[in-house]
Amino acid sequence: MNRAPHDRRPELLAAYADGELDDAAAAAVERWLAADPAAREALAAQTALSRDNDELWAAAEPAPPCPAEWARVRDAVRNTLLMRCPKAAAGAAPLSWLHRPWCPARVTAAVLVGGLAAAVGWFTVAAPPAPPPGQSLAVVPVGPAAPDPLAGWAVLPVATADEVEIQAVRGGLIGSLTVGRPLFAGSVVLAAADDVQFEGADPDPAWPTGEPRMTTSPGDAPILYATAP
Amino acid sequence: MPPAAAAAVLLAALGGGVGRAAAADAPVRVTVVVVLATTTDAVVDEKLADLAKEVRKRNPALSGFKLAACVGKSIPVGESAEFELVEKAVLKVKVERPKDADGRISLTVKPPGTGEVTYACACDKFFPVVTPYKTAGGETLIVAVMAKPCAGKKDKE
Repeated sequence: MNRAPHDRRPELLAAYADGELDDAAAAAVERWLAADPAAREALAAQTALSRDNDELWAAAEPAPPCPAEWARVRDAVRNTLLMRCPKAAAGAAPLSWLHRPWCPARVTAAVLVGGLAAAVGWFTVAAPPAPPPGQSLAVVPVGPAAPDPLAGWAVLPVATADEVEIQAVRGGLIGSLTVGRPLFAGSVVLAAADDVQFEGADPDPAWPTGEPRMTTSPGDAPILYATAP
Repeated sequence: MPPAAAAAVLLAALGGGVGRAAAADAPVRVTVVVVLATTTDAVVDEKLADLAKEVRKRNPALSGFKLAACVGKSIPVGESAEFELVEKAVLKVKVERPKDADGRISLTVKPPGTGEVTYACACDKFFPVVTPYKTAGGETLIVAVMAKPCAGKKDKE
């Protein structure tokens, strides 16, 4: 099968007639026309066709490519990719990745692999751990947009004295409680002699007289006074 | 008497008995005030004015009285509880009897450094014990014990 030379294809005449060629291509067509009478006849036909059918060309849809044309395009793309990804010459020093020829296939593969790695990395490092079974994961926003945990109260509710049982107060907190009933009100009111009845004690050397003495003289409040043996 | 009325009277009698038993077995609220007395200053907590006066009758060298802690526990009759005082010192208290006809509640106390002492004291009044325990700073440990309630099922402050 004979094929037309690269610069003498019929479609170039149609493009020339429509004024679509650049200067170099137009000059090549003009050299072709000067040397080929058949080309001049074809150009005359194309020019007439173009001049009379502008509206038809504008309304016409391009013919869909046939399977053979699709195969040709695919092969052209494959050949282009393979030509731009040459194998390293035997014995040649390997090029760094910065100096290797541009390779769309490699770039595409690198982008895909990089994206996958980034996704896996995010899920294994940055993503929060899954909550234990039966528990929900609470997402707590941080920063200035974090919700106010006290937003539900206009005034904070405070327990009443009957709702609080003070069990122990130590050091400087004594007397500074704002809720609950104090463990004792006012001063420490001592029991009078008539309020206390001694019922018994284990012998212990800590009692100065061998047993606890509640009072030392009439009118005194009863106190157990122990000394170090 | 009809059977239904007799049953009602019986139930009322049983209910009253149960109520009285519950009141008698109600836990006793024991409050322990922890005081540290010193010979190095003369500062007396205003709440401890009476206690300081009575203690100084026995030991005039003790001039400063500081309120170190106050601990309260509800203890069922017949049971014991420990009150943490200062450092490692502990006061053990057992409620022997609830309030009697004279308005006294019977307790057995075991202060640090002494043997057990059993006494009955009027409710809502403090009974002090000057212990032989000395803190690391040389202060004398004093505990004042008070028990309630004084009346009814619920104490009125």
